[in-house]
Amino acid sequence: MFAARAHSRTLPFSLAILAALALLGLLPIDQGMRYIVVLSMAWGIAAVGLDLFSGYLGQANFGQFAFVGIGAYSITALRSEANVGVVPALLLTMALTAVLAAIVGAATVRLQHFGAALATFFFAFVLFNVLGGNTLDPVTHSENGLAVPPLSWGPLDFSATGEWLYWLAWAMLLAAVLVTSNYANSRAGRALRLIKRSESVAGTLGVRVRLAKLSAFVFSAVVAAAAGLPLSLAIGYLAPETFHFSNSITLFAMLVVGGIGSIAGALIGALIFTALPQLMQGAGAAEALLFAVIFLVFAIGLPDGIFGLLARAWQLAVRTPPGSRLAARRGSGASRVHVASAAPGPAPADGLRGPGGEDALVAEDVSVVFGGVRALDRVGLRVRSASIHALVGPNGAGKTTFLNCVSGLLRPTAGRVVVAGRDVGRSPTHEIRALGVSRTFQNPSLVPDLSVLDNVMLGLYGSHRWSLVRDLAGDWASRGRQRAVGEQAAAALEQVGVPAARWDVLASDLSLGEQKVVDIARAIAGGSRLLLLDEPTSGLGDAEMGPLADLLKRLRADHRLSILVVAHNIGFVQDTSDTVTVLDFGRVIAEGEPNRVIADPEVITAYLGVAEVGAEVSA
Amino acid sequence: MGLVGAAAISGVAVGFVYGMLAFSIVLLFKASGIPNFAQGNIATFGTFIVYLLAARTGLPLPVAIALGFLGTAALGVVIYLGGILPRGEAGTLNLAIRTLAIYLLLFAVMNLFWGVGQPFAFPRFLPAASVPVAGVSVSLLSVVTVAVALVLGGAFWLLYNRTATGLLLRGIADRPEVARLLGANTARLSAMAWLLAGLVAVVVGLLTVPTALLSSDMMDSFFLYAFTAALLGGMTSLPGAFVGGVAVGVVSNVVTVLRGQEISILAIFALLIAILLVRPDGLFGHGVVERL
Repeated sequence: MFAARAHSRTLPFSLAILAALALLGLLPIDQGMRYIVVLSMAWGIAAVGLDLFSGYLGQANFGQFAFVGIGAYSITALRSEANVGVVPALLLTMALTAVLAAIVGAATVRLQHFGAALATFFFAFVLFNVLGGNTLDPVTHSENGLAVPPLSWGPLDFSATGEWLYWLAWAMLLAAVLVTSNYANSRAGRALRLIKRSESVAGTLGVRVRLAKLSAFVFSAVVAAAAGLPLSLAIGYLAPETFHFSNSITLFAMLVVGGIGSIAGALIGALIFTALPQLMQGAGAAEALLFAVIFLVFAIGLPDGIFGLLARAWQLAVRTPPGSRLAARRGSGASRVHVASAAPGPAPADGLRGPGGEDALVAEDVSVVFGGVRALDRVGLRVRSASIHALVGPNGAGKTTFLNCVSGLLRPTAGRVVVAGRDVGRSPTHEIRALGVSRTFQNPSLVPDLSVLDNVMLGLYGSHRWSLVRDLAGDWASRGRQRAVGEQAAAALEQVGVPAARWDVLASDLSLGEQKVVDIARAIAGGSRLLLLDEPTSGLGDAEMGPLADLLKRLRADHRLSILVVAHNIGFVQDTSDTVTVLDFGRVIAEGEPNRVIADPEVITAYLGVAEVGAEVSA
Repeated sequence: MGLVGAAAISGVAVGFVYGMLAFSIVLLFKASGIPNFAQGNIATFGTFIVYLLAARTGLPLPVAIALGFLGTAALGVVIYLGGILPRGEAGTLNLAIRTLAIYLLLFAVMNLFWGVGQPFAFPRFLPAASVPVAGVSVSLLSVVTVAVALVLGGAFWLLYNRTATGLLLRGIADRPEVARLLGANTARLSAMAWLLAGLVAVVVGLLTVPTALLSSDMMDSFFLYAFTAALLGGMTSLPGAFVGGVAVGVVSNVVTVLRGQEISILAIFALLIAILLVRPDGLFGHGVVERL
């Protein structure tokens, strides 16, 4: 995970940079300078695409320049060897790259830890060797390389010496910025940022994690391939050396120095790194050394990059928290949202009365074995609909493991987990979410760099049909849906009692108590039947405990929500719960009404020890 | 024993070179949780030090080698103190990015100051003889490589199992928080790991140059192969690194003989992807559980 945070709605910054580039293009600058700027715009296209994958999704790709190489070679080979027009060549290349990236990505997005970093690096190394090797010689001409045919359209000359290549590169950069920005700020982009926070959490909120990661990988690769067009026209001749795998590191360095997760930062990085050689009068090796030092200094000291610095300076100057423009726009209007009209989701009551009868959750003989350890041992548990059921037990008793089984993060080794009449023991997380099971986590897992409202909107991911194509087209294409989702999210926030003034605050600026409540809002947004809460009381003061208990009781009464809550605080359990199950070493040692269970001698000896009833049991 | 058999045998030897480089990568990964992308260039850097001292200042080769070890060990410590330790809690990926920057940095330094006229022929320090092993003629270099690798492995086994420092190194690898609570100076131990990794890197470089010319990029394929070997071995297993190295060495040599170098690179890439997909914890590794 990168230390750097991602930024929302940075399009104005990117457009300002593009406007400056347009002005520069109108000035009578010399040929050499024009060439440098065209190159930097080509790199900028690739960097912008990469930012979606690395900045917003938080995944390393140390081989991205390979896709620029594939794009440049493919476009050029189609034009020079097959006499295909430039537009079909570009489109065909983008389609080809999408297929190739889908194959490479299908493997790499599954990889954990630094596996993807290494695999992509290796991929660039492979491509470099293939370009210089014999296998594809008929297309690549190996070490001899490919000459790029000049391009013109009527009076417009797009060749390296032509006036119009600058504007071609500029227009493609503009397109890349717009589309990437739309992606990053759409529902799909927010889902990527949730995955960056935690894949497990994203899964329980209905995000199809691998598909989302793969889409981002393919997108960034296709954008990189498109960068191959202006690049090939500018350099006029393709050789394997141009696509040396170290260029992928340089591309990544641009992103880090410019500011990862901001799109505008990718532009800044690309401009700086390609303009620098000009300033240094082409002292090759010394310039490479300076690059490396700058890269290292930023990676250590300024992982937010130049954009992060600018954003901080801007905040200090304006003295308003980020996102406050939104607050102004929505303002008090938010409170006008009708809760009734946005009643969460697909009619929870119906499912409860389905063939499954009165129970929201039935677990039978659920066992989980890790290696030799029996984390859960034939656990049976029943949550009646519209009731609050507490799950208590000392640390390591298997409470979270049980929640993981119900939400699909973990497959039980044996036993059945039945929700809405269906055994979900082997179902993927997003399908279980679609059945109305939602959960919170012990450590509130909000996306720190998204606003409260945006975070709750993530909870509605699974409950609507979306299309990535619409997301890429921009706000206007999915405005109706966005508004509906925004209203549902607002309704959920009102239900849990978060004041509208806090909706545009970044999640990282919330107190722990607030985070826990927002986490609950995110879980119930869009309609939940069964809410799983993992230690909502931990870390809360007494003053925050009461309102939380009231909230759970209100959700049970008003929305007929069934709640399974893991808690340590016995007073809280007595206050809220209809029934309790006590786990110890993965086994159920008692169940029933709270007062009776707490008085059970076995529970007292095994779990409570000599502690007084009503005291906080902290293990 | 045809060509393929001979390729397999030389593959075992080169596999031990990959294995040693993988070993140094695993050593660092265990001590500090960092996948060090610069490890190959550290090896090249150390070899350059030996070469410059021996070939350009006329020092006797053993003295040059000794100074090379010293210099590279120091380089490892400097990299750790300057590049990894500051803000060291920034996360694996940030630290991996730093090692990429260090990769570029070392590469640039070598090109800028020593690169003119490369590649260079390294002074010969082993006779080009061959030794019969089980009826097959094997180059002396191969025999020496395997011997050195075994001695190195043995020495590290003793270090890890018979010395207090080694036990502490294992401690920070398995339970860094616990080791810290028990009063282990983790920064000093990590610096020690980088020092040791530097020493192993020079061994790798010296065993590479008799068959490859010395140039700033000579370790590029080696370090990717070594990483593959380390992952095959489980990334946390030191013996696993050698097993992985030999597997990679044999596959790469045999495929090169049968289908050429280009396909052999593809084969190792395919091997890497296969390991990561099918057995991400490698042959000898153990998994990591996410805390929610």
